Amino acid sequence: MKEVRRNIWFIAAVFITLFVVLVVSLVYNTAIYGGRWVNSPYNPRLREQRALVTPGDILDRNGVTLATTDDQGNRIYNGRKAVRKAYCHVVGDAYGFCPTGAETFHASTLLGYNADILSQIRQVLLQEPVRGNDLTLTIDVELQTLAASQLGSQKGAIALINYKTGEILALASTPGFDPSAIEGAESIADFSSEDAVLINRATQGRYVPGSIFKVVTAIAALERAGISTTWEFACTGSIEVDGGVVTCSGVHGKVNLVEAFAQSCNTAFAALGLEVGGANMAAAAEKAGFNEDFMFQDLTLYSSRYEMNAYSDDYDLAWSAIGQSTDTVTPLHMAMLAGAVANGGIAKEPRLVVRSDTVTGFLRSTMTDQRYMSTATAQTIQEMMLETVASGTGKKAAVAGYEVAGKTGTAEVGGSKSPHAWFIGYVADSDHPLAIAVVVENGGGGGSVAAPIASAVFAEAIQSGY
Amino acid sequence: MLSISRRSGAPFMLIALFEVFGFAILSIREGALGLAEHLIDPMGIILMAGALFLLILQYWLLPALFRYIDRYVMILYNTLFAVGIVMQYRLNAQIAVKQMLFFTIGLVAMAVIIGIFQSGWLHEGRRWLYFSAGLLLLGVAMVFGTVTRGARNWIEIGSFTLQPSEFAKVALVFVLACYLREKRRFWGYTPLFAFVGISVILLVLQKDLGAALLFYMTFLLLLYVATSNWGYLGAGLGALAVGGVISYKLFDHVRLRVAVWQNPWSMVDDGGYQIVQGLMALVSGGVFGSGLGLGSPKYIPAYRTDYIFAVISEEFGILFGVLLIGLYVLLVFRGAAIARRANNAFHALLALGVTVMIALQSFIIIGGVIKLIPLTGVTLPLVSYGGSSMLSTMMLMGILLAVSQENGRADAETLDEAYDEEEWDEEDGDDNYQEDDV
Ligand SMILES: [Zn+2]
Repeated sequence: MKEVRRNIWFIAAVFITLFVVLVVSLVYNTAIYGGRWVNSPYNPRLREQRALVTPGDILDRNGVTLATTDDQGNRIYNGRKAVRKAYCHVVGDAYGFCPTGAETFHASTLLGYNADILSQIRQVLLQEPVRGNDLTLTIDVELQTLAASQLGSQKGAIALINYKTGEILALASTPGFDPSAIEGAESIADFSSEDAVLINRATQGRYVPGSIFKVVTAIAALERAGISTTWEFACTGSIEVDGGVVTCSGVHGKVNLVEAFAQSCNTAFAALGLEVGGANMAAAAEKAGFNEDFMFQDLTLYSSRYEMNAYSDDYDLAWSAIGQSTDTVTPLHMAMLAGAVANGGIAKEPRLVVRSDTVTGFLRSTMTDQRYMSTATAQTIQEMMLETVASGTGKKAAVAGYEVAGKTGTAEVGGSKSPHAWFIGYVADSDHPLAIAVVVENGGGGGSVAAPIASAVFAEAIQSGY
Repeated sequence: MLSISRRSGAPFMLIALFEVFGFAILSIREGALGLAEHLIDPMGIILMAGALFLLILQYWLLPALFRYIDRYVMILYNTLFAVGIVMQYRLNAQIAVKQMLFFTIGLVAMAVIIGIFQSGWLHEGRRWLYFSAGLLLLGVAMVFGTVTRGARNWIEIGSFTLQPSEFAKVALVFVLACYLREKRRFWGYTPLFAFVGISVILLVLQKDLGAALLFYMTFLLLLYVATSNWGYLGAGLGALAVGGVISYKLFDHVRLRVAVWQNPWSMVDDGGYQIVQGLMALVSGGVFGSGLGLGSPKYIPAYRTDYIFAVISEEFGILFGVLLIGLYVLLVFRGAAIARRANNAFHALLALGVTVMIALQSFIIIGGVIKLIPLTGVTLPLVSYGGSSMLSTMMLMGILLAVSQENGRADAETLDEAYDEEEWDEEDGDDNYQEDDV
C-alpha cells in the first residue's frame, strides 16, 4: 500500500506535467501563430464580418488611397488600372483570392475584428454601422508603379527596401491582376492560369539564384574558412569536379577573390565552395536566413533553401556554390541580404505596415532583426559589390552621382529556356539607404537585363527622397 | 490536510454568480437580437433557475446524506458543469435543457453510487459482475450499434441513443481496481489482460479510437501504480507504439488523421477543415475573448461536443481556456489526494482510476483541439454536450466521492475507537494488500 501511495503521486505528477505542456503549447502557438490563423482566407468570421463591417481604407505611405469602400459597400481600388495591377499582390483583393495581400493578411485590422469587447457588444446590440481600421502601408505607390512598369510584360519581381528600417518601398510582381475586375471570377481557378497571376513572386516565388548566391559563398569563405580577398584562382573556362564539369562564362585567367566576384567567375567560386566545404557553406547560408521559416509580422515570406551539408558530394556542392543545383531563393529575402551587407551585417525585419489605428488583440512583439554576417565580413563584401558595379558585370546598375553596389546573376533553369536575370544591390549612401532585388524570369543576362532595372528604380527612389 | 470550512459556501456562491451572469447576458441577448419571442428569453431564466436549484440542493443535501464527501470535488465538477451549461445555452437552448436533464440524472446516479458503495455492496469480490457488465456493454454496441460519424458505438433505444462505451468506463475502473488490488505474478493478471484486450479490440472495431486509447492507457497506468513494475509500463507503451504504427500502415483513416495533424492548412478541403476551423476559433477571441455570445462557433464541426474547448476559448478568451485546464489539474490533485488517503488498495485504485480516466480524456481532447497531438474524438468531461458522457462522468464522480466518504468514515472510526493505535500512514504492513499468488 505504501508503494501504491508513492506511485499515485508519480501518476499525478505525470498528469500535471502533461497539462503544463498543454498550457505552454496553447499560449505559445497563440502568441506566435494566432494572428496568421485569424487572418486565414479560410476564416469564415472575416467573411461574416465583411458583411457587417465597412473595412478600413488601405493607404500608401504618403496617404494615397489604395483601397476604400463606397456608400454602396463596394470595395473601390485606385482609379488607374496600371496602378491597380502594379500593387495588386501587396494590397490583395476583397475576396481573398490573393491571400498574401493586405486585404486578407491584415483583415482583422481592416475589419476591426479585434475591437475591444465593449464596443463589440455595443455594435451588436445597437446594430450600429461599423467601420474597421485604416491601414497605412510602407510602399510608395508611385515607386511601386514604376517598378512594375520596369518589368513590363515580362514575368518577374522587384523588392525595394530601406535597409536601415526594413520598410518595403516597392514590392512588384508581374504579371498582376486587376483587383477591381476579380469580382466576376467564380473561383480562384479562373485566375490561377499558367501565368499564376495570384502569386506574389517577390515573396512566394522560389527562384534559382545563380551568381547572386556568390555573396553567400563569399561570406562563408571569409567568415568560416579563413580565406581573404587575396585568395587567387586561375580560370581556364571550366573546372572538372568529381567527373563532372563546371563551366564559366569566359576565361578569366588569374583572378583574386574580388576580381572573381566582380567578373562573376564560376570556376573560381566552384573551387572556392569546395575549399570552404559543405558544412561551412550550410552554416553561412543558414546564418544568412536560408532554410528559415520567416514569421514576419507584416507579411508572409517563403523561405529560401540551401540544401547542401557536410555529406554532399563535391559536384553538387560546386554547383551550389554558384547558385545552381537545388538552391532556391525568394526575391524579398535577397533584398534583405543585400541590405544586410550595406547595413554592416544586420538584416532588418521587412515591414509593410506603417501603423494601424488600433492595436489588435495579439501581442505585437518588437521586430526581429538578424545578423546575417559579421561587420568585418560585411565591409569586405561591400568592397566586392562596389567593384562589381564600378568595373564588373553590374556596370549598368550605376546611378549618376551615387555609389551603387551589387551582384548580378544569370540563373540557368535548364532545357532551352533563357536563364533568369538577377540583380541584388544597394545604394552606398547613408542618406539613401536603399537595397533592391530584381529578378526577370527567363530574361537573359543579369548584367544586361536586371541591372538597368535596378538603376532606374534606384534613380527614381533617390529622386523621391528615399 | 487542507480543507475548506465545512460550511463555507463561498465557492458555491461564485459558481452561482457565474451562472446568473452567464444566463442573464445570454437571455437578454437572445431577446435583443430577436432570436426569442420576448425581450428576455424565458428559457434562459428557466435554465438559470434550474442550475441554481441544483447547486443549492447539492450544497445542502449531499453533505447531509454523506457527511464526509470531498467538497473540493463537488466544487470542481459543479464549476465545470456551469461553464458547460452556459456555453450549451449560448449554442442552443433546447440542447442546454437536455444537458441540464442529463446532469440531474447524473447527480441522482452519483448519489445512488455513493449510497450503494457505502452499503458495501460494490466490494472487491464482485469481479465477475464488473467483468461481465463491461463486456456486455461493449458487445451490445457491436451487435446493435448504429453508425454515427463513421463510428459504430451508439445504440438506439426508442428515441434515445446511448453510447455504451461511456458506461463501460465505469465497469473498467471497477475491474481494474479489483484485479490490481493484490500483487500477482504475470500470469495472475491473465483475466485482466484478456478483458482489456477484448475491450480495446471491440472499441477499435467500432472505430472508437478515443475510447480505445482511454481504456488502454488507464489500464497501463493503474497496472504500474499497483505493481511498481516499469517493465509492464515500458512493454505496454511499446505495444501501443507498435499498434500505432501498424494501424497507420493498415488504415487510411489513421493515416489521414496523422497527415491532417501534421499540416491541416494544406489539407483544408481534404480532412483538415475541422482542425483549421478549430484553430481559428481558438485564437479568434484573443486573450480575453470576443465576449459571451459574440463569437462564431458554429463553423466548427462538432462544436458542442469535441470542439467545445475552442468555442469557449473564442468567447471567453485564451486566458479562460488556460483556467479551464487548471480546473482539470485541480481535479487530478484532489483525485490523487483521495486515492492516497484510501484505506485499502481497492479504494485507492478506484479513486485513481477515475482520476486518470478524466485527466486522460481532457488531455486527449484539448491536446487534439490545440494540435499538440493528433485529434481523437472524445468529449471534454462535464463540459461537452452528451447524455452518455455526462452520465458516465457523474458516475465516475460518484465513485471518487464514495471513496472520499469511506476515507472520512474510517478516519472518524479510528478517532472514536482508539487513540493508542498507530496512524495507518505509518503502518508497515497492510493486511488489505497482501502478496497473493493466483
Ligand atoms: Zn571564370
